[in-house]
Amino acid sequence: MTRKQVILSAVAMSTAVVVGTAALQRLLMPKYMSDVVEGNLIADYYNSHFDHDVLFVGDCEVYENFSPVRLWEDYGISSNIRGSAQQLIWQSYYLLEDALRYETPDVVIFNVLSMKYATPQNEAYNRMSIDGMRWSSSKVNAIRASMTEEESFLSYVFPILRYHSRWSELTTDDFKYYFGVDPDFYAGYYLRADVKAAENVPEGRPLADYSFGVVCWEYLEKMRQLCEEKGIEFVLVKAPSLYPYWYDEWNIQIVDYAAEHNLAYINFLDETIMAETGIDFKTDTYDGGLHMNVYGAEKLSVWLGDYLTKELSLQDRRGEPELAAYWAEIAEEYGKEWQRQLNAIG
Amino acid sequence: MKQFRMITGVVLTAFAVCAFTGCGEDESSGISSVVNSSVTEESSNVSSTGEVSFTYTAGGTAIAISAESDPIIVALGEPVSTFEAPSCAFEGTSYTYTYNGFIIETYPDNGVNRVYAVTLVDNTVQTAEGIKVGDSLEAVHTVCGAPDNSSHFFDMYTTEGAAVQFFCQNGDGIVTSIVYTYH
Repeated sequence: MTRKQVILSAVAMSTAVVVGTAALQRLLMPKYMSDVVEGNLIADYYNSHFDHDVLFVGDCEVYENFSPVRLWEDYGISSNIRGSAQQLIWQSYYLLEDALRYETPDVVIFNVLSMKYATPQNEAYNRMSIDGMRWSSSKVNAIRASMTEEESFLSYVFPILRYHSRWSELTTDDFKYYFGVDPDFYAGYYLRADVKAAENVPEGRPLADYSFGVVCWEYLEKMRQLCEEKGIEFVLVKAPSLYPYWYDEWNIQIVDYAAEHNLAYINFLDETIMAETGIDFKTDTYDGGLHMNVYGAEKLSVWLGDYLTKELSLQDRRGEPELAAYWAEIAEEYGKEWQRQLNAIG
Repeated sequence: MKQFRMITGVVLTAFAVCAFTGCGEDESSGISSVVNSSVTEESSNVSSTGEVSFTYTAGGTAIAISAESDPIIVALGEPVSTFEAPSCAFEGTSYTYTYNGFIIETYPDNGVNRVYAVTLVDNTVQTAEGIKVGDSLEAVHTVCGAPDNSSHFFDMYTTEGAAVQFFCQNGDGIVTSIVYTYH
C-alpha cells in the first residue's frame, strides 16, 4: 500500500470507530421515558422558543410546584422551568448561565432549598442535571463543580464510559427512543394529577449547625450578580413543601440576604402567603406534602402571576400571535395529559 | 501493509482503552441509589471519652446509626405514626417512625433502609447512661465527660460514623431533646 492509502485507511478506520462508538453510546445512554422521566428535563429546555419573561431554576420544588401554562393563560406571562431532581446550587448557576446564552428573561426565580447542600451529593442526580446540557463552558464548569469522588470528567465527555454496563439492562425504550425522546413536560413543568393528603409530617429535629455552606453563598451571590449584570430581576422563593423541613434558622438567613441585596424573597410556607394561595394539603399535594400536584401548582402560579404582574410589572403578552400559538399548543398537551392522568386514576 | 496493521492496531487499542476505562471502578448496573454510599458502616458503641453509647436501645432493641432499619422496626412493633418521603425521581423512600418518646429516621441505601437518626423527645425514655430530656447539661457532663463539640445550645459527642447530641434549645442548660445521628 502507498503512504496515501495507509493514511486514508487509518482515517476511514478511525471514523468508523468514532461513529460506531457514538452509535453504541446513544443506545446505552438512559432515555428516561419510563421510570425516571425527570432525566429529560434539562435537555427539554432546548426545545423551547427561548422567549420567556420568567425562568425558574432549582430542584423538584420548582418543576413540580409551578405551572407555566397557568401563568400564561391567566396573565400572559411566558415562562420556563429549568429544573431537575435535587439540582444543586452550583448546577442552578451554570444552568442559568447556559440559558442566558439563548435569552434574557425579565425575571429569574430561584428556589432556595438547595442552599442546604454544600457538597456533591450523588452521581445519578448529577447526571440528570448535567448530561442534558449542551456543551459549553457552563457545562464544563458544572461538571467540575459537581463531580463526586468516584466520577471522572472523561465519563461526561464520553458517557459510554459511565453507561457501558447498561448493555445488560436495555429495554424497549432504548430502541424505541434511540433517535430522540418525547418527554411529557410543559415548559419544564412535571404534571401530577393524583392526590395524597399530607399527614404525620414530622417537625424537623434540631441541628447542631444551621449555617449554609460557604460555596452555597458564593453561588447564590454569583446568580444575583449575573442577573444584575443582565438587568434581570432575581427573585428568591421557598416552595410550600412540608418536607424536607425548612428551619426558621435557615429562613432568617435568606430573609437577611434578600434584605441586604434588596431582593424579593417569597416564602410560600409563610402563613399569610399560604392563606392567600389557598393551598390545602389535603387536596393539593400528590405525595403527602413534599410536592404540589397540578391543583396546588396552579394555585401557586395564580398567586405568583398576580405578584409578577403587580410588583414587577410583567406585561400580558397574550396578544402576540406567534407566542399565543406556541402556548396554545403547550396548553393543549397539558390539558390532555391532565385528563389522561385523571382517567388513569379513575 | 505492515504500517496499516500497526495503525489499525493502535486505533483499536485506543478505542478499547477508552471504552473500558472505569470498568473496574464502577461495576454497578444502571442508575445508582440516591444515597451517599459512604454511609454504610455501623457506628462503634463507645465514644472517644469512653463514657457515651452511640446506640439507643428501646425495649431491648438496639437502634444503631446506619444499621438496617427494617428488622429494627419489626422488633419495635407498630409505631404511633409513619411518614414516608419518596426520593426525588428514583426509587427509595425515607421514613420517619414515631414511637412513644422517640423518633427514628431512615434513608434508602441501595435497596436497604438504614437508620439515619434517632431523636428522644420527652422524659419517658432515656439514654444508656440514664440521661433524659429535662436533665441538665451538668448532669450530662458528669456522666458522659467533656463533649467533643459544644455551643450555647447543644453538646455533642462523636465517634466514627455517629454522634449523640444533647440540645438545650431554650438556652437554659436543660436538655430539650437528644439526637443520635450520622456524623
